[in-house]
Amino acid sequence: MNNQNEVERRARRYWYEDGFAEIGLGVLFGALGLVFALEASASSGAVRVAAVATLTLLVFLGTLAVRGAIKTSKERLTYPRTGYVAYRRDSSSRRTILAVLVIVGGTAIALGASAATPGRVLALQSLTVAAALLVPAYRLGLRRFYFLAAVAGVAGCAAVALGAGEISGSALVFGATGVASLLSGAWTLRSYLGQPGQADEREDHR
Amino acid sequence: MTTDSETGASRAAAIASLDRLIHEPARLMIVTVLATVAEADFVYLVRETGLTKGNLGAHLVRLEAAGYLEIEKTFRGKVPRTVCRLTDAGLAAYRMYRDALRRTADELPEVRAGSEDGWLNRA
Repeated sequence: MNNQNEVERRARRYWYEDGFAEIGLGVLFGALGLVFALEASASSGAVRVAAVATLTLLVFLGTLAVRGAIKTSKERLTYPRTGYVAYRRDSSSRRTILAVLVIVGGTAIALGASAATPGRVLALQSLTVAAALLVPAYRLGLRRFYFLAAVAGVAGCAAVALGAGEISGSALVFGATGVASLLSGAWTLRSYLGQPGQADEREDHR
Repeated sequence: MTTDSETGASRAAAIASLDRLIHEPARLMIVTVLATVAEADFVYLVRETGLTKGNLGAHLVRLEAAGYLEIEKTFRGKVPRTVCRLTDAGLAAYRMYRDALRRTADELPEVRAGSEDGWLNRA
């Protein structure tokens, strides 16, 4: 039975095997870090408004673009090498529960942040990012994600210790996690490409 | 009151009732992988199961004949791609098999090392 669970786990872990997911996450977090840094260093109000607008666009359009890029990269490189897999989509009720949790959690964080000190906001932010990274780390046994969660936590602690403001602290948390994720993804991709791929399915098949 | 022989008979019946088509180790691996994902291609299944291409192909045909599997043959450029997915019947059969196996495993008697003649306990 344990072996069956491991087979299921391996199938889910396959999504992360080529490193594209981490590279995508790294690009997204790195871009968020850059925009936060730009906002923190901006002296004029117009640049700040532009940074906030870019941030909003980045969260929605950037996520879509990164998902598309990951899909294309897998189609071109991963599937011909080691095979194609499509995953089951979460049931609509599960997605609804997740959406409600995100909305409730986001609202609670926003309400808490309005009354909290920058240090608390940063600590909460880095903890949230670390917790989100710990989920796949624990569920799928991905040790690399424990490292990424640790980076997010340490960056948050460093920002608090340095007395950084909310915006510059966010730049540090997202920037550091993004760079770590990019490096981890690149290293994973390198290892993946070093493994022998499968030949196509034509030989001796049926 | 249930006697030992009745319990033994019910265990044997539970084991015998397992779906033999899925119970075969190679096919169990294939079905377990396909129950986890929506669909997967032949190359991925070769990699995950460690079976030869011919062997995998033969097992897929048996599962398809039983109505547990759908096989779709397409081309990606000039390279053939065989995509496999479990049917609803296949998924239901896998779930039933898994539940039955769990129940059966729970009912099997414990066997301790050295319990046969108890020589470990004599020292």
